[in-house]
Amino acid sequence: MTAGTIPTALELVLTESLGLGVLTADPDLVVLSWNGWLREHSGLRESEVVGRSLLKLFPGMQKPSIYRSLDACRQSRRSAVLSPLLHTQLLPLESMLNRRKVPMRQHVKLVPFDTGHSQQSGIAIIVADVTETIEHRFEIERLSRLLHGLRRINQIITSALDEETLIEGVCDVLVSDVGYLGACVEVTLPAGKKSAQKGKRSDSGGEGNLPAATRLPIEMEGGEVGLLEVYNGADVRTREGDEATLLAEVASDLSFGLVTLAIRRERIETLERLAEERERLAVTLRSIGDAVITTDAKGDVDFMNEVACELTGWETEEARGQPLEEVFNIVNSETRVRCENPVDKVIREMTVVGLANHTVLLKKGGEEFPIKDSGAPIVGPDNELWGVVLVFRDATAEEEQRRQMEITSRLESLGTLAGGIAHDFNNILTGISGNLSIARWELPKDSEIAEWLEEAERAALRAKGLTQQLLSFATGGTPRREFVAKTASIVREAAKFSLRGASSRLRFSADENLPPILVDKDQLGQVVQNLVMNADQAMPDAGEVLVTLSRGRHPSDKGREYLLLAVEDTGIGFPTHLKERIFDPYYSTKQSGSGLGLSIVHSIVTRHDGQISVESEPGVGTRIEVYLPIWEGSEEEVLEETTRPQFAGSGTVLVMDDNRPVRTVLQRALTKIGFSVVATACGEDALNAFRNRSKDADRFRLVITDLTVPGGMGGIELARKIRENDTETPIIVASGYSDDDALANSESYGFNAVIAKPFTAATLNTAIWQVLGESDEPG
Amino acid sequence: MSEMGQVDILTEVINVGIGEAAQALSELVDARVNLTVPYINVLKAAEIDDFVRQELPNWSVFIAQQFEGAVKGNAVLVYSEPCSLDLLDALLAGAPRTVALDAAARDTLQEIGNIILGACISVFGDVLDERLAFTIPKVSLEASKDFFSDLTRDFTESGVAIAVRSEISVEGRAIRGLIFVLLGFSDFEKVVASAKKRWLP
Repeated sequence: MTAGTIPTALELVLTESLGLGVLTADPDLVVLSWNGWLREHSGLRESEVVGRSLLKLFPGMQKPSIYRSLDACRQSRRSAVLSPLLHTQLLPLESMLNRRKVPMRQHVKLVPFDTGHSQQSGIAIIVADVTETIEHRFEIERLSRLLHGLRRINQIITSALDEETLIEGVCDVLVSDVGYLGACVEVTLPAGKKSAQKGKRSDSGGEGNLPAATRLPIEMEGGEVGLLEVYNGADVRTREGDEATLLAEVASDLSFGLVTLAIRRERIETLERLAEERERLAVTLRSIGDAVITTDAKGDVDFMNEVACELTGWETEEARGQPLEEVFNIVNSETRVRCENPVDKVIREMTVVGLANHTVLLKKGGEEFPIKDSGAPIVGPDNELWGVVLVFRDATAEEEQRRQMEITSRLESLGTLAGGIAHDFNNILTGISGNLSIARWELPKDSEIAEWLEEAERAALRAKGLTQQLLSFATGGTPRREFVAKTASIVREAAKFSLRGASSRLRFSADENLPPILVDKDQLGQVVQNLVMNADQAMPDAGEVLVTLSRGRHPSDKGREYLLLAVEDTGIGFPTHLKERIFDPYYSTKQSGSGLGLSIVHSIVTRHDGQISVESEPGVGTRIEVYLPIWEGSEEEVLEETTRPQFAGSGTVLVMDDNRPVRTVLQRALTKIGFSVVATACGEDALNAFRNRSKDADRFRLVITDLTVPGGMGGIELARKIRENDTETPIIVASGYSDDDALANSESYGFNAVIAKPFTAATLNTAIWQVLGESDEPG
Repeated sequence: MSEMGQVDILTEVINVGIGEAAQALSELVDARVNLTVPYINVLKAAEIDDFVRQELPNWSVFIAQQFEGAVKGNAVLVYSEPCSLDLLDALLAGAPRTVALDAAARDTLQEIGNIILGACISVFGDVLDERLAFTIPKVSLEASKDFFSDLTRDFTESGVAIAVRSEISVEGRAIRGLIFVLLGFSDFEKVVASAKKRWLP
């Protein structure tokens, strides 16, 4: 066959009737025939093609991958197929698809045929139009990928914990799984703007009249909050048909995902807030010092804090759901009759209620505590009763404090009376004992009268002791505290001394390393003596007095550690209801004793900021506990104990005392020692006298002053005025009020020494030596 | 069966063909294509089915091309379905991912098979200095248990199946495939003898 050869009838049928493109070429690749189908789809007439070089007509055939097949076909007679997927446009043919002309997808076969006069073969190129098949294939594949992408996106929606993960995941699926060139999401959420992008982004101008990207709104709660943008170059299928519908579904799912996340976040935040609130409430209830029980509206226990568990003896889980009266078992302490369930009362009255007095809580296991409490309704927003909250506390300490205060108050009243009597009595005794001393000095030592006077003086001193005791009974006297580390030796000695000659035995024990205390050693001794003597007297048939020293905490003040002195006997004891009276002066359960011992002890302990408690049972014995505060500071200066020699004075002493006998005694005694004396009856006169003799030559060497002057300037005021200009002249204060703070802390008031009325000449002499010291020679 | 020298010679012959196939495939896809040096098993024709089943338990895409002329036989290219999809993706880079072996995909595999198998077998013609005629490969997605036996039926009395294992990788993707050349024993000896005469001094 050569160019221009007329095809046979069969050839005509084969080339024109099969709906295939048929092109034949000779071994030199010159076109021999070009059938009607090719003409129809290319627009090229046979005359424009036949006789021309195939490679020049269709340069695409020069591509090595195609030319190799063409060459193998003509040289080696090898047939070949050319895939429509690999060779998209072998020939410039067009096809109709969806009423549009599109480049034809061609399935091509190269078949060699014998030309009869050449070693090489001619080539028949048979073309089938597979455009619709291929495009459908692509469409199906694209939609399949999109559906797959939708599934992936739905998985991301269910698993994403935040918006960033969601929108990044969606973009990633659209590009990586579905195969779009680019995807972008931008949304404005309450939490701020979020965006993600994957792959290429569209050009701003777009292509032709169409936007370059498909933009789909993302909506939340009916409003647009952003856009999903899908870029696929010039491919318009993202904007129409099934693919556009699926993309809209992607945008809808993304919107749903964002809404779901917002709801989920809101729910999580709400749950977190609730959990936080619950935790804070639980911590508050746990931290609160009071016991708290909440019940439901029926009165069954719902919650108990730790304090409530401790006081009731019930665990929270054990108590939950139990009726309150099972857990909160309260009775009247005096009648032992069960108290009304406070929850019932709250539910009935719908208001805050308190417990009656004398209510005690019976703990599971037998213990009982006095309690104070209140109950209140828990009311919902619609005034519906949700339950009741009961708040109560162990009132043991409060009861103890109240009892102590009552005792202290009663004793203070008695002390005021006793103090006034003792003061006057002291002044009288000062006149007596002072004059007795002076009179005795005037007599020879072996004089019988001197012996009588000495006897009288001893009697006066005993009377002084009685007034001191009276003051101590009442108020204990302001303690002159000092640092004491070896309390045990003081206590042991005092106890031993108290039992000297008694039939009872002492058993003493003290813990090692007892803490130091600040205490008036004399008063501590007095406390021990009184307690031990009391114990001894409580055992008519004699017995053992147990004295112990240890660390301890008082029931009314458990937060503080004390030095605990306990004195215990196995004596007659006393009933509980007398506990509050045993500290009253002149009240005694024993035949012997003055009835003042425990009053003194109470007064002294109170003045030391201590606590005291008593436990007693008739026929069993009594245990009295004294709690003294531990001193946490450094060691205080210890007063030097000295034996003071007789003093030989010189110069002038200013004396101020409103009591004439005292003035007289002082004048005589001072003169006897060797001083000149200027005596005044009030502070104003004393101050004038002091100021008039302020020159160095005739200034007073010493001032001795009474503490109080009714209606006038007393010793405190006088000392203050003197100290305004003079800090050197010693001032001694004398008073019968041994409990006055000015005596306990004399230095801070400007005094150099203190003497308690009534005093002897020797006491006076010692005090003067103490303040004048080495400036005067001892006599 | 055959001495080692014959297998080595045939290996070298087929290696030339594999090189041609790689070059052709590379031009087709405009990407670097590597085919590993073939490993040849010479089997009795009767053993071929068992051997293939053992070697390719999950492989299911068979591209078979018949050739005839101075020698006659069949060449078969075998892939698993995921591998064939990967191969198509590698060849059709930039096009939407192939998800199924539909008609268009099979057409593409047919073209690939024609290139690879044709290049391989045409070396036999070169060695024999005679033209071989090739059919257009058939692509089968499922093969019966007698698939290979059927292909060797013509030379079972003295048949030899030459199993050539070669891996194809495109642009770094590991796409494993196997090539089988099924040849009668006399044709096998003819090819070897011609190769000896042509290539050896």
